[in-house]
This record gives sequence, C-alpha cells and structure tokens, in this order.
Amino acid sequence: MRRRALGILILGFGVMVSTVWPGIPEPDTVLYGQVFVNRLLQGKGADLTVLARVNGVANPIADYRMGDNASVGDRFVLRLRMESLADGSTQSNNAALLGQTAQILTRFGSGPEQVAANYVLSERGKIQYLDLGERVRGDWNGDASVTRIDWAAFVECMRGPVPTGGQCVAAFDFDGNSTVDLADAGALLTAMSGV
Amino acid sequence: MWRLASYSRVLLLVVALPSAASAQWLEQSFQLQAGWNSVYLEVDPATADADVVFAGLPLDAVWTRAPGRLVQGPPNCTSPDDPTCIPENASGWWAWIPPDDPHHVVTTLRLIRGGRVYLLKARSVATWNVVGSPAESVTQWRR
Repeated sequence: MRRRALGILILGFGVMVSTVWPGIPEPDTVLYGQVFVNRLLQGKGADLTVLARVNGVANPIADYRMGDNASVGDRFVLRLRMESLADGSTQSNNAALLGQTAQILTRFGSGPEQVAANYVLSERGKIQYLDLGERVRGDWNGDASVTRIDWAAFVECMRGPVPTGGQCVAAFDFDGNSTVDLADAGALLTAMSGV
Repeated sequence: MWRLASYSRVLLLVVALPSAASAQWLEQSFQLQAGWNSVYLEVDPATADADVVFAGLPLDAVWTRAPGRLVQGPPNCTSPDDPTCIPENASGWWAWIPPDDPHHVVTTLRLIRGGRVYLLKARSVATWNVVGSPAESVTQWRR
C-alpha cells in the first residue's frame, strides 16, 4: 500500500515537472516605423519583410511584410507578443519577456536576413516609433533629399495633433529634444535644397 | 367600446415603451489611478466609438485581449467582436491610442463593447463614467 502511494506521488511529480504551459499574456510591445536603404525609403511596394526574434529562436515572434496593412502606409508594424512567467510557466517560443532584447531584422524577398536594430523590451504595452536604416534629417518622403514637399509636411507636424505618428520627430527633430518646434524650422530651411 | 379599449391599450403601449427602454440604461464608474488599471466593463456604452468613450481622459492607451482574433486595422476591422476581422498575428491584443497621440496610427481597437476586461494606462488619477445598456459577457474563463 505504501509502495503504491509512493508510486503515485512520484508519477504526479513527474507529470508536474514535464508539464509546460505558456506564460501569462501581457500587452504587446508595438514597434513601427520606416525602413531606409542608402537613405531611400523602402515603402509599401518593396518586397521587404521586417522580423523580430528573441533568444536567437528560429521562429520570429513577429513579422510584417511591407504593405500588408494599408492603414499604416509606408510603415512597418511589429506587434511583439509579450508574456509573464509569474505563475511558474515556461517561455513560449513565440513570445518575449520584459528585459529581453529583440533583434529586428530585414529581409528582401527570399534573401538573407540582416540585423537592423536591437531593442530592449523594457515596458509592457510600449508603443515605439523606430526607423531602420539611415534617414536624411528633414526628409519626410524618403527620397534622400530635403525639398518643399518636406517643408509642407513639417508645417503639418507643427500644427498638431500630429497626424502621422512619431515620424514627425524622426524626420524633423534636428536638435534632438524629442519635439518638433520652431528651433527645428531654421535647421530645416538650411537643409532644404532647390528653394 | 371595445375599439376605445383597444386604442387605449395601444396608446398605453406606445407611452410605456420608451420609459421601459430608458430604464435599461446603467452607469458604471471607475476611479482610475496613474499607471495600469484593470476594469471589467459591464455595460455596452451608448456610443461604442472608442474616441468618444475615452474622450477627455488622461490615457496613454487602452488594451483588451481577444485570443486568436487580433486583426488588421481599418477599414477591415473595428473591434475584437467584429466577425469580419482578418487575423494579423497570434498576439490577441487590441490597443486604442488617443487620436491626438503620435502613435494613434497603430490603433486597432475602435469600438468598445461591454462584457470584457480592459487595461487602461492612465497618466494621472481620473474618474471614468460610462453609460450604457447591460452587456452580455464575452469573457470565458480558462480551464
């Protein structure tokens, strides 16, 4: 009888150890922005996929093919699935934990993946604008030059509420104070060509 | 005589209907703290538009979860309860970001329904009053 009870106990312990359940879902980390190659915007028509990986796992935790979501236009949007292991669960291979670093990669067609950025997941429910590649400061439309078209976009950004996301700051914040203001207007005029 | 009684019944019904309908409105009130707040909404707001429901509140974002039904943004989908939703990924979270916020472009949650849990991230203390009709719960407990 005692031996039987011990057997059941060991079996139960074995089941507990081998059972793996996913973590508690938490609000996503949302990364969105634009991709530049040689300072040129790779918009919704580009055969380009943006991916995110954590822990070097083969499965990306998020991916986005440019143009998939018409409402975001020429931007990519990565919704990184987050979870908590507070209940003793095991990390899923398609989710990230707070404190981990997500590797953001780009891939043209079926070509090789290239690391574009590393992003530390510091906060649940975080929404962050993130440009991949180098943008010409003051260049709104991604044609690698600063013209009257960009000036018109700058005026729109100054009007507020900002209609097109953190892109205003990414494009026009010359002095790095995280806002677009009159101080940036002078720098933009200096950067403009063909005026 | 019968005709008069019949008319009066119809009249009574006509008079009684609007008052019966208005009696179904409920108000729910939440005291929001700075930071994350978890609320269970028991009413379907009179106006479901998220921009209207959360207007004037000091919010960074509102999140709700609908496993397996996260979707593309407009024009395809407006809420987790929309049957026309197109799956976007397996995350299952929907987010509303205020219209005057730079990140509004990534909003997926546009209609607010009762009977579900919402996570509200507030910048400061506030009171959220919601008026609506009693909602049927869409939340299912995990076994």
